[in-house]
Amino acid sequence: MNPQGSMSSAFSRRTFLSTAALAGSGVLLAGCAPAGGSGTAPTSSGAAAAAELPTFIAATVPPPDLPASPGGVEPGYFTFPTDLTVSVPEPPGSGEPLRAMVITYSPPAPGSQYIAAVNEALNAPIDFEFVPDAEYETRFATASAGDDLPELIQLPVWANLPRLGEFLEATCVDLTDHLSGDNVATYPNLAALPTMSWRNARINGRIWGVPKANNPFPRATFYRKDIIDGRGVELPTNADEFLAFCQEFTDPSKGEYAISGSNTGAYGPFPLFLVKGMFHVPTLWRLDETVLTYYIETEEFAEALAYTRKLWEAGVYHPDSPTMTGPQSKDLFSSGRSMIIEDGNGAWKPYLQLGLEQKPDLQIGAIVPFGHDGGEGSSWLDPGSFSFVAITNTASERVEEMLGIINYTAAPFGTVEEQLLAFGVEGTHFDHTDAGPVPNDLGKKEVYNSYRFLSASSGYLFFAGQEEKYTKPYHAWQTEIEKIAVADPTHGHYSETWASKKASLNQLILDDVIAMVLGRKELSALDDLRATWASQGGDDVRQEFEQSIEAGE
Amino acid sequence: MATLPQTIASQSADRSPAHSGDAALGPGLRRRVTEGRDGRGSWRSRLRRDWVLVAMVAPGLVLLVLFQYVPLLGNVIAFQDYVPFLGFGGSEFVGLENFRTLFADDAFWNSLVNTLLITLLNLALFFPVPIVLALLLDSLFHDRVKKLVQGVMFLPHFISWVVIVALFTQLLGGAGLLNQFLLQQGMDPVQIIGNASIFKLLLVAQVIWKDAGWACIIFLAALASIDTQLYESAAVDGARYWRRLWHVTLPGIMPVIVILLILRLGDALTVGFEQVLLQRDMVGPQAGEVLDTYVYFFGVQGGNWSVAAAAGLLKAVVGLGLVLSANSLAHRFGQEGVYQRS
Amino acid sequence: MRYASNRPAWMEKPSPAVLALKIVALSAIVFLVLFPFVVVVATSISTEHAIAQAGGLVVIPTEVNFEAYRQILTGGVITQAVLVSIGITGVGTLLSVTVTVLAAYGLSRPESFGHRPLLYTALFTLLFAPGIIPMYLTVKQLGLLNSYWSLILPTAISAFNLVIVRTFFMRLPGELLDAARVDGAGELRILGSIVLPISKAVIAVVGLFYGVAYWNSFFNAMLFITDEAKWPLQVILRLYGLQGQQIEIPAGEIPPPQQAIQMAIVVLAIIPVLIAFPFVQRHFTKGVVIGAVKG
Repeated sequence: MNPQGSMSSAFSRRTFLSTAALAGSGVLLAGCAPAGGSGTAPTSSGAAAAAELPTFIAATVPPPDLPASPGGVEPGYFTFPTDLTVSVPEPPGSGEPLRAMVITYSPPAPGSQYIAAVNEALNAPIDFEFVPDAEYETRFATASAGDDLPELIQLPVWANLPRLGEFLEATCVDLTDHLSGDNVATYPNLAALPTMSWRNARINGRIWGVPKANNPFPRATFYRKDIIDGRGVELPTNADEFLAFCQEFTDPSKGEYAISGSNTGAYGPFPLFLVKGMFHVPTLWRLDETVLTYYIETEEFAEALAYTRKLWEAGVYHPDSPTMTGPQSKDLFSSGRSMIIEDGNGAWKPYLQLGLEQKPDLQIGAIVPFGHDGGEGSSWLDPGSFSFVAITNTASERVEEMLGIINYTAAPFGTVEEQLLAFGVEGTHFDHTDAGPVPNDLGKKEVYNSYRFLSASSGYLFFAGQEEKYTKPYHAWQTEIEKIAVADPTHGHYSETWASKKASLNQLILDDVIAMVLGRKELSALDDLRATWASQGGDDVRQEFEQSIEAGE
Repeated sequence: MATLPQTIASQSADRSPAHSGDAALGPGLRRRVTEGRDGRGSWRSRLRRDWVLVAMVAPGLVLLVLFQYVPLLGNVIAFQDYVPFLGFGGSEFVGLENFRTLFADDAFWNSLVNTLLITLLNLALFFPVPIVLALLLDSLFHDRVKKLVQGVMFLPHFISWVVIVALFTQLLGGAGLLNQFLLQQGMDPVQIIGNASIFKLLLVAQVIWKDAGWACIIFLAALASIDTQLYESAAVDGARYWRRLWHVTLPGIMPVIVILLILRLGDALTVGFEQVLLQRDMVGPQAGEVLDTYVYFFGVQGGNWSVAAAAGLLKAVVGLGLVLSANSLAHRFGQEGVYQRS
Repeated sequence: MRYASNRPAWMEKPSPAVLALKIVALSAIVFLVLFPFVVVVATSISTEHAIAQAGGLVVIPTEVNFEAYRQILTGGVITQAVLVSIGITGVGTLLSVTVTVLAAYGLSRPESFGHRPLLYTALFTLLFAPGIIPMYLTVKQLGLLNSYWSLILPTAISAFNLVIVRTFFMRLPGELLDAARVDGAGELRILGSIVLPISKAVIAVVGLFYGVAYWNSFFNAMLFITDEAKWPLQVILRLYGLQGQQIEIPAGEIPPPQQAIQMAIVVLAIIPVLIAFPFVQRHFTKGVVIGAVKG
């Protein structure tokens, strides 16, 4: 049930769920229903005469132990499937070399046997240009100024890529005719990508790329389940209980604080999506009929902000949150000096993996947002894709070959191709055990998300031998979040001003939010912030999105 | 220069054009020497005389032209609405619009004031430290101690700001070692990190800790280049430490001090970008924003290369003004500065 | 050689009070400088568990292990990058010092031909910095993309270092040089046999500045080198997690970097400087006797 009447717009979760009621058992249906194709309201749309998103055609995958949902819950496996299918019978490449620019988060190994093996399977000698994450936006600008773009270029949807629309029209191949509607069937692995993940690849009504799919769930509020259970403390169910819960786990003289944040990342030290969910703050935008309201403009946000300040004043936040680095904050969490930390939901596995080596009885959980008044909370939804890969005009004569290569990299779980991409060559990079493929040293060194950063199918939950600590609770969390999640009405819509001013507008908000939480500014300063935000570009963004939504209706 | 060593003093006398010794020189050589001293003569003959010097400058100059001046032309984007994939030719010219945008923004002026305040604090508190440190080291007799101190004091320069900020937080932060100790003693914690009123002092303290030892190196080199005979003569005249410091040591390193001071002024609007970026959240933009972080947030990060270039030009113009005034001030005090008076 | 003291005859012995003061000051400096470095080293050789217990940074290592170093050093990624970095630093420093010394000497005589315009041309670059995109386009036009030279030539000469060396050269008594000129010595010979021997300290310092700049630079490599086999060490090290501000990491793609690895990186990056520094330091302790050098 949705307790907030005001939230039931054309894009509320009810619409979202109704379009998504197509789950099948045994068959992984990781996407929404095809937009505009089944008589239900479209979950997204572009400008006038927007191209139809690719038609979703489910892939056949091994039957999971815990089911996937069309809303994006990932399938859970307790054992690793052994019967692999083939999804790409013929190598898609022509043998001609090509370059691909992708992001990297760790140093790629030179002379990689993994890349050699996959390139051979593709029959396409791909030369990767790895760009360190922090420098991606700069490199994007120089590469586009230098007029020597690689054939394939990864475009992260969260990055600040100003004038992306113009850039695509000027330098990239319009893929609409190849991928829109049923045309995508030529590339079965691409057709199996969740429909929602395609939305951000459609800009100004045309389809410009193939997504790397992600689960659409937001950051998770992780807590130390082992410690909390050990002390016999119940999880809170309303705002007052949460404060008391935090105070229970705060003891400054021991250096213990309930919550630790850090200065790393785009959300600042006080993200607490949990609090936003408690007060039903919309993800980014809320749509009433045709009018968009930004989250900072809502009354719910003012309440959430006041409550966050109350938490800060109660001293339950680690006092150095605004200057701590990510690793510092993480160390507090793993040593049990902080009880709650927020991170991308996929961090569940690495936290557990690292922690279990030192502390075998470690358990972590993630709090599902509850209402501040004890009712149901809400949660936001991410776009469902991490990035999309565009084909530049450099390869305008080889578009089908490029799509074939991307189709290979999007191979779903349970295929020979996916195993090669995810684990490398058996015997060289990994060995099969009862617990599934286990990477050896070379595998850990070489197998990296080079190809999977072009495109990737949706994920699955598997952690050998840890279904009680990982697969089941993580799957349950995703399921709960899906129930209370509210889709953002602007997903799948493009605003030129937003693409250019996203960074500075966010900074504006971040600065004032920190000031208000820390008490440097009164909470009434929120009114000034709203006005400044609107005048410095917020109103333009609103207008562009409203027009795009209206055109798509 | 009363204390000039004998050898040089006599050579100096030899060089006087009026000296009778000139007669012993060939006419050609004598002309070269005299011209060298008064700089007269047609440009042809001066070029013929100095072409070797010019040729020596050439490789460096070619590099500067290729990798500084040519790309500098790209600063034209300060007057454009520059879009990388459209290029310089395809981007629209907007005149002074980018500068107007900057000037109209209160946040810009706020960051400018913060930057200048930090630079002033830097000059007053940081700048003298390496000099004093160098003099202190120079006054040591114990070779091993001297080498040891020299050998470790530059280490912090190589620790990145991320680590330094983490270190400061862990020692002085709200939950740092100091405050935890105070809490355990039943005292109130002191707010050092995140206290807006002392934020700028904290920045300078961090810079002193990180870079004083490194900056000291150049003064050590200057001290090592002072002619020891000057000290000997001074000692013969009965000068003790402080007089020698005043009459030999300081004049000996003064050109280097002046140069570094002037060069620092040219950079007046540049203060530790990464250092501030990591810590400004704690005190907010009102106290913590500097020009570089402002440009980063409102130019670079949003891909607004034009505003960033405009800010860069502004910085250069302000720096130019400061360098010119500082240099002429240096001339008044009899120092040569970076360039010479005409 | 007198043991442990190089006090010249004309320097007096310090009074006990001054001596005590100096000892206190020096001890404080050494402590302030070394303590954080000890923390860095201690953290780099600690287990994640010990680091977590210490709350982030370790002062006294309790559980020593070299896992962080093992993780960084195995796999051949680092060895390749170290070779690249050493090559670039070596060749670059040599080139830079040569070009800078030549230019500084060429500009050290205010009355020489074209002195002012040439000097101003150099000085101007101290104030006006080219943007990233124009720099990229220039390097690309010169065909230097993906070439090691793109990591050397753009930063081969720094006007700052040039001005420093020039200042030192100009402090030399002009009489000394004129004397040599009168004796018929060419400029190169004067530079080589008179100026350089008495300028070792500043050349050592500027060499250090250039060397450290080459060693630490990563940004140009990130811009100009797309072949990861040619990446210098600093690009690799930064990827291990020492970035000023990390942008958003996608949900759980990569586990957060570990403190021990970060600290091990600091240690690894500083080792070459520790090796090089004594060679530079040698030139600080020797006094210079200008008069003794004759042309």
